Amino acid sequence: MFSARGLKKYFGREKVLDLEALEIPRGEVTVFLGHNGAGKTTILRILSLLERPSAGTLSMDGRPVNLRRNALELRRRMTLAHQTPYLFKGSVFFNVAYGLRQEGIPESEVATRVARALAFSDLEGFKDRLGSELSGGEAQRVALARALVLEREVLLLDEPVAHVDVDHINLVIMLILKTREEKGTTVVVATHDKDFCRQVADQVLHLYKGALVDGASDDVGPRGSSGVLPSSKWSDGNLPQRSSPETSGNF
Amino acid sequence: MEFLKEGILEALRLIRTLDPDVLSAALVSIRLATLSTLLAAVIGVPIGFLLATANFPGRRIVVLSFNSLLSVPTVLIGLLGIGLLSRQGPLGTLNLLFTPTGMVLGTTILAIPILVVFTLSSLKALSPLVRETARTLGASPLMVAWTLLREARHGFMAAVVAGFGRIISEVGIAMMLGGNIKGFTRTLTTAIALETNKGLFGLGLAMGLILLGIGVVVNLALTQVQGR
Repeated sequence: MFSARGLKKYFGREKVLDLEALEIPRGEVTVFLGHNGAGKTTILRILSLLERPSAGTLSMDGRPVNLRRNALELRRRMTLAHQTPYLFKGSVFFNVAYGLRQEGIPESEVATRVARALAFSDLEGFKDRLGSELSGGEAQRVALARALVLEREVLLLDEPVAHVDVDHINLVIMLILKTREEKGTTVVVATHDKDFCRQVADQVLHLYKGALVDGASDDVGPRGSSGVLPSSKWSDGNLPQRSSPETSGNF
Repeated sequence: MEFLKEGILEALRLIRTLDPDVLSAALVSIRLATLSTLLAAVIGVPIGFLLATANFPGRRIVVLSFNSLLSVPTVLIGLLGIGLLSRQGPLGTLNLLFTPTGMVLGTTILAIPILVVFTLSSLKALSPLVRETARTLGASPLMVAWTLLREARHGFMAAVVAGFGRIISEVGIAMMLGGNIKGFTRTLTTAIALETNKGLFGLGLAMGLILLGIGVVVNLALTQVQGR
């Protein structure tokens, strides 16, 4: 899906990303795992075309990404949910419907799809609530619903469970896996949460100080691998016990 | 104090009986302020948007200039207007001096910097995530711009009210470019100046109260819009 060579990003004189080669396969969940400041958000911003790389090439389905020529076309094939999402002034419905309306989808279909997305995100009854009235976790679920409702080829998620309460983490995991399985969506996630990573990832890419590193010693492999819960400073010991994500149902 | 009390009573009587002179001046003022504010918004909002979102050489100087123009004396705009619109001026053939159109031109120029600066500052105050979120949800550049303006609408509405308030309360431009012609270019402010000079304090005070009332109504309307 994405292919990059010699991708570098500098902020001023500081190098925050340096990837010799990067391959993100279509239809899989790729997780960038790393500490704060490892470059996870930067790579998501580059993939979502919000940030220009300082050097290197990025291509999507073999076509070079050119922000001047095909930015809007490529952006409409993907969507990004920020770690701390911005909800537009207005209702939850307005927010979730926003992207659909940009595509000129008829209002009757918008209403149906928004209602379905809210139901799957456990946000039934939130339709008329104002974005400003929501908690951080609720806002993050609205942002996830807003991204999922578009059914884009690529879903980019920056720390999708950072503010989500324990009860809803499994819901987010389920939504990620379902959208991948049922729609064939390519999902790219940035997270520092190893437990979450273990439950969703098909491919884990360990980032350390802006570079991809061998993360075998972290015992965090793709979903289904038998990694042992590490006792690191990422406070895994404090993580709540999570049941296996429920993947049945209609999405 | 007796003088003030009599003035207020006279003001209330003139308002109650819908004095034709007061009503005429009020209508001229409202028409002038509404039209000029709309024109200033049409010109000022895009300029403010451009200054908030684009980077080009000299941008800071342009911003500084508009900030400075916020405090330009209205008599100076009136003077420049006379220079332009009088028979000897470059626009003299248009015969706009001492007409409502001439007043609209002058007061629009007065309000443009207000609309520019308020629009600029309200857009600058928005989170960068507004633009990014709109983009990641597939908004075209035009829709991104619309979304930014929508998110900054409270600041934009405040700009409109400030522009309206500045125009309806100014005297210099209305006097110099309008000529204070009764029933034609006489506004509430020029009428207040005239009647007070003539010693008709009650009439002046009545018009002052109406002016205040218009300001209150406009602000209430804004509060309603913001409350939605």
